[in-house]
Formats: sequence, structure tokens, C-alpha cells
Amino acid sequence: MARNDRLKNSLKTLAAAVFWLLVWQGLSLLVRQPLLLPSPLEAARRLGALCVTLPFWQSIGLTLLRVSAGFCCGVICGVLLGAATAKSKLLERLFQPLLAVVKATPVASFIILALVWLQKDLVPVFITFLIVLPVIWANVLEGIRRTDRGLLEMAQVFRLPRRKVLSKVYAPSVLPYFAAGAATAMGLSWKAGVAAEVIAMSNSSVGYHLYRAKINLETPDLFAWTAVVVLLSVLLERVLRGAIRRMEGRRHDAADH
Amino acid sequence: MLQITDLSFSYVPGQPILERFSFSARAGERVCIKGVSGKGKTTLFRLIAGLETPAAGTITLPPGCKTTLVFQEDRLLPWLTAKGNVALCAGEEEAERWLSAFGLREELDAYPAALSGGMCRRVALARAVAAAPDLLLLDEAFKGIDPARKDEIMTLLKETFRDKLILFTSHDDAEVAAFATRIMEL
Repeated sequence: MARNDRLKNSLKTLAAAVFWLLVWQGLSLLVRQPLLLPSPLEAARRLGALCVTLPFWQSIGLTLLRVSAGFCCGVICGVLLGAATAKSKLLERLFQPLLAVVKATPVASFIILALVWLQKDLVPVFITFLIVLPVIWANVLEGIRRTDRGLLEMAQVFRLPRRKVLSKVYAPSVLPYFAAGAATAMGLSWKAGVAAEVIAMSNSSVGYHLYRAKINLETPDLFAWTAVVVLLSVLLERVLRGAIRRMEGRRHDAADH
Repeated sequence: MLQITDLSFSYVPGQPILERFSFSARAGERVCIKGVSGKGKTTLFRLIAGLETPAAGTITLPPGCKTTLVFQEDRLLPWLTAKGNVALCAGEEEAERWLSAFGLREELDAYPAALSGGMCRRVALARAVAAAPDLLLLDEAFKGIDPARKDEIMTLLKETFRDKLILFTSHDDAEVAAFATRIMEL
């Protein structure tokens, strides 16, 4: 039954994707100028041609590395900062304005600033880190704050060691908040990371190829590289959600009973 | 074993819940703390368990005395099984032993969401007993447990805590008559 439902859902998603591809094809036929809007077939053909070249895979690998590095650093620092600010009001007051500024500042301003401070290959890592950090921080802080006070009192009465309180009370309570934040941050990190690569013209990167496509008016290339970014983002988000679902497995079991 | 002297406490300044309350109890006693709602029974237990700090007065327990409180709510971790919840405070073997003693042998691997209210109360009781306290505080701990099972649990607690101290609250007179060795009006 569940398998049938999954198949039905997949078919519906596929049908929606086909619908929008047809809309794209229709529009490209209407415009009749591949420079302005290439057809999906042209973009796919270009993607197929790129797939068999070494620089294509090198660029994907390095972009993946930069975005992942920035994402991981943002997650680690976000979790630590969330835990620290939940524990100390003073630290929260200290970091709140800084993080508010980071959230409100346009990504482009940070990219240009980072270009002054860092090597161009490190700019996407730093920008991804800056985008991920406040999202994870806010969600972890919220998760810690919303941890059931009754369960914490129980842990206190039973004198549970700190390690157990962290792993058995806090971690499962914070996990849903962390998962929501990580999924949002993953999507944002691709947008910001690739934007940073475009502006910084990082070596062997998807962003660099997007920039080249724009300069040379190679619109089918632009669409092909954009499709690569979208596919990578969706793929990594799925991997992340799968990992979090496995971590939440016990909780789901509990809810199912 | 337990000596409370001139204990005062208030959540809101000027509205004391407890005022110059004194009380003592020996090991082997099962004292029922009686009083109408709002008189401070739960607060007294929270103070003894160290969850609140007295405004004045002292609570004296022997050095190394282990105190455990069964709250009015079960306070079970929803993501752990019955065994996991008890093992958190006592280890796997003890968890199995006490859950079986409380009539939950078949529910070792059940999550709290799958258990009835009475079963959750028994898991909470098993967890407290498995922690092997010297002073056991039971705040409406038998509420929701069916009468036959309640009698079994009372017998079990009487035997297990023969040389230890139990303080409990209850609004059920029959329960008080069956379990208390002394009644203390708050």
C-alpha cells in the first residue's frame, strides 16, 4: 500500500515536471530565439556534450567541495553557537546583533568584502558558511529553548550525567528543529555558494562556467549549468533528509505505535 | 532521616506557599502528606528533591542520601521504550527486572505513546524504584492505576522500602489507609 502510494506520488511529481518542460518548450517555440530562451532539448543536448568532458566533472567536484565545506563549517559553528547562547544570556546578547547584521546584509556585499579579504577560491566557502550559520544557530537555539522543562527536571531529580542529558533529552528534542534548519540552509548554501563563485570567478567552478556562458552569450550553456546546480542541490538535500530521517528513526517508530 | 525546620517558600513575593513548616520522618515510615489543593504538597516535594530553593529554613538529609521523585505527570521520554526509560536511571538488567515486577514484562519494548495512562504510571514508578533511592517521593503516583494492580504495587513498595522512607500525596482515602504508616496534615 505504502509502495503504491510512493509510486503514485512519484508519477504525479514526474507529470508536473513534464508539464513545465512542455511549457518551456512552448515558450521557446514562441520566442524562436535560442539566445534568449533555448529549448529544453537544446539545453539537454548541451548538458550531454558537457558531461563527457573532464572540466565539467572537475568543476562540479570543486563546487561541491566548496559548498559542502562551507555548509559543514556553518552547521558545526551554528550548533555550537546555538548551544552556547542557549546556556548564556550574555553570549546571546553579544551575538544577536552580529547575526542580525549577517542575516540582513546582502550576500553580494559579503562576496565583494570576502574578495578583498580572502583568496578567490575560499570566497564561496566563506559565503556559504555565513549563510548557513544564522539559520542553524536560530533553529538549534529554538530547539533547546523548547526542550520539555519537565523532562529536564526529571533528569535533574534522577541525577543523570550531563552526557546522558545531552544525548537522551536535548538531542532528540532539538533534532526536528535542526533538520528543518539544515534543509533550508542546504538550499540557500547552493544559491549563495554559486553566486559567490560567479562574482569571485573561482577556478574550475560551476559559477565560473555560468559567468563564461553569460559573457559569451552561450544561453544553452547557462541553462545546462543551472540545471546542474538544481540537480546537485536537490540530490544533496535528499541525502541530508535521508540521513536526518535515519537519525529520527526511533522517534518515528514511537509515533507509529 | 529527614528533618525539615522552619521551611518557607513562595513563587510570588508576599504569597507564601509554605511558611515556617517543620517536619521530621524516620526511615521505614510511609508518610502521607495531606492537604487541600494549593496547600504546597507538590512544592514541598520539589523542595526536598532539590528542584526549588527554600526562601528560609532547612531540609536536612543524611550524607549521600539518594532522593527520587515520581511526578504527578509521567515525564517519560517519548523517544525511548519503557525499558529505555527505566534503563536511563538503572541499567538494562535492572530495568527489565523492575518493569517485570510492575507487571510490564510484555511492554518492555513499547514506547510511551503505545501504553495506557496506567501503564505509563507504572513505568514512571518502576524508573523511580530502579534508581534505588533512600527517600522516595510519590506525588499522586497511584493515580490512574487499576485497584487490583495498585494493591500489588503497594505491597511491592512496602517490601522494597521497608528500611527506607516514602513520602506520598493522595486524595484517595482508601489508598492512604492502605499505604500510610503516618499522616501529616499540611
